Amino acid sequence: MVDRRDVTARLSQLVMTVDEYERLMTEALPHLLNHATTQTRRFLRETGQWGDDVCHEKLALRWGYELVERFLMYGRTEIPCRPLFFLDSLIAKYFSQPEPFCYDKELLSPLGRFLEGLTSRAVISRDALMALFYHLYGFGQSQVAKVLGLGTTETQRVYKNFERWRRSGWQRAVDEVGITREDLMEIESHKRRYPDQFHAEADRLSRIVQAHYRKSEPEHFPCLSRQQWAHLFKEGYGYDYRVWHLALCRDCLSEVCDVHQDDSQDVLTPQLDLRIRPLLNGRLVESYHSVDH
Amino acid sequence: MEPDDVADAYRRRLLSSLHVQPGLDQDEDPGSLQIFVNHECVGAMECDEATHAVASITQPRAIQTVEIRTASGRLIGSLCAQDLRMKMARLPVGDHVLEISIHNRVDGGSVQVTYHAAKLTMKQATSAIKDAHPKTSRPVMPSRFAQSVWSNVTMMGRAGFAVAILFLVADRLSDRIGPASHSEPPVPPVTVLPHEAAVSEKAMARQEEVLIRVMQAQETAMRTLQAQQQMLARAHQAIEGLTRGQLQLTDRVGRVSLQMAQLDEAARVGRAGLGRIDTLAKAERGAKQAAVTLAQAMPADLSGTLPAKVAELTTLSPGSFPGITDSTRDLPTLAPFTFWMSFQENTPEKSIQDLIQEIHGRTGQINAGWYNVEVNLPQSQTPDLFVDALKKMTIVKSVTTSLKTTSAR
Repeated sequence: MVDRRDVTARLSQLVMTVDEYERLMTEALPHLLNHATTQTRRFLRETGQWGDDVCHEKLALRWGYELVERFLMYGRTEIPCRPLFFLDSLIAKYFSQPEPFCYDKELLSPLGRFLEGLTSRAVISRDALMALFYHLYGFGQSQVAKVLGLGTTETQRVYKNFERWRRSGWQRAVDEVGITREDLMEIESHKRRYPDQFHAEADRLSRIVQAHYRKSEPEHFPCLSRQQWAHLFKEGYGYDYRVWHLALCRDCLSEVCDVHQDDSQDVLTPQLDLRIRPLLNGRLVESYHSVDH
Repeated sequence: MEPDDVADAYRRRLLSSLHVQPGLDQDEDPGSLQIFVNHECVGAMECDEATHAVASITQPRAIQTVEIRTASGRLIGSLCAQDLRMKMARLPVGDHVLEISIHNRVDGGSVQVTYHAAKLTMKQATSAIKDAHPKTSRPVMPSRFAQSVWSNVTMMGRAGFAVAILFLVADRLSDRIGPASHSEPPVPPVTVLPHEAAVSEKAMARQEEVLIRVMQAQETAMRTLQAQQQMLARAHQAIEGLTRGQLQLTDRVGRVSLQMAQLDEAARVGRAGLGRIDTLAKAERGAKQAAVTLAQAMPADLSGTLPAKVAELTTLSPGSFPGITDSTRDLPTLAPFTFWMSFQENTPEKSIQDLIQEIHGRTGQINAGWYNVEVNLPQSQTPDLFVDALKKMTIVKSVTTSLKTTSAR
């Protein structure tokens, strides 16, 4: 208790140098995570989105973690500062955004948390963004290249991304969103035993999640009409836009596949076909901690 | 597993992720860096095998946060700007350097992200620079002017320091090389021992290395200086824009205040005029009623013998009454006033007309040397004052209002 008070006092004092800041951060990480988690919990309570269960506790921990991760980087450029005050200001600013979190009670199920975690990772990781095509629709490398109209260079980069995602990215994402081995087994068991029900639920939940995270795209990235998509592919521009938007918008992806079919290209129509684990060397990543972090 | 244990295990997992602090992991090749502005991905910067990559983003909104993430989502650099100002940070990412510069204006913000990849030959020099200035990313100063000026002074100092070192090194080199090259007096050939040659070579190599480092440091300092100057110029432009905007605003406020004062005055006059209209309308209604009564009372064949004015009154309508119509139209500023005036004997007609024109009068009948004149008096001037002023004119003999007035008056 004394230690905690001491750390709190030091976090409230002025830090003058980067070295001092980094030393303090190393010591105070548990306290900072607790602080950010408590603030997140309070926000969820005040907005009527809290429940006393382990799912909500994990959500608060996860969002607290994301806030602390940002704080650690931002703080270095804010020295001299009082770290705790600066963390509070970051948290307040983040919570003042409209709908800062993707919260829906239905997303608290293992499947919901998996889909939400995967998509939220796709927002900050290009590897995860590309991997969404596989996890949601089962598209392989060549299929993704066809749908997105990627050239050789881009295709090679996508392949590299796939490999990195398979080796470490997926595991890290799953770990950081708090999906356990039991959760994964439950999802897979549900998929195996009740495929229709599983498919319907995944379809519904993925739409909720995609709609939330698609909002973070720049304002000049709206849904396009079929003619606009056709023009974009014909003229060969907007590669970033294709990847970003089509990974997060199923309706536009269907439009694009139709456009390709009109051009007599062999492109499958996207159907939700949720894949939980990535393929590594031709086999599924089975063991929970079998890959390097 | 109990729920508390699950949460604890998850917490431990997250803490271990946090202990691998973002930005310090040097294993991953930067590759494609994603730029996030206000938590939105606005573009990517390809850094494969590039020594220098720059991305500029301009947005119509103020920029609060900038984050740079690798393709795997790892946060390697960030900067936040709390308000309208310029801010810059130079962040080491492994051996590479990332520069983030935010410039917020009233009409939006811009971000420039510059990636300097470390060349193999430059690694030592870069690390030397970083060691020499490990706290270069100290962007918070009381004001942006102080920041810019202080940064410029610092940069100038660094450049001067680098030049001084360069000069000293060059001086030492010339001391060593000079005597050999300017060997005017014949010098007997000197046999150089192998170990001396090796030592000399080592010294030369060391000197050369130092020289390269100094040059690289100077180059970096110059680049930074140029960047600072550009930002200073931008700041000046922004200040000029603000000053212009402030002047325009002051001008507009002044004009609006003037208009409001005029409107207040007009409203006050309007209220007074409305009272006058009521009076005039009552008088007109009374006169009309009297005339109608008179006309009804008279036999039809006598109507032709009625005085012209009475006949006119019987056909009056409120709209055709010149006094009322004019006063209604000009009510905010003027009120009509009719009077009679006579002039001194032998006054030329031209002088009379000039005076009437001077007072903006409208002449009516002339009766036995009396001129019927109507003027519009400002509200601030009473008829009595006006008559007194007229009487003081040398050509005016007399002024009266009682000889004949309009029915309205």
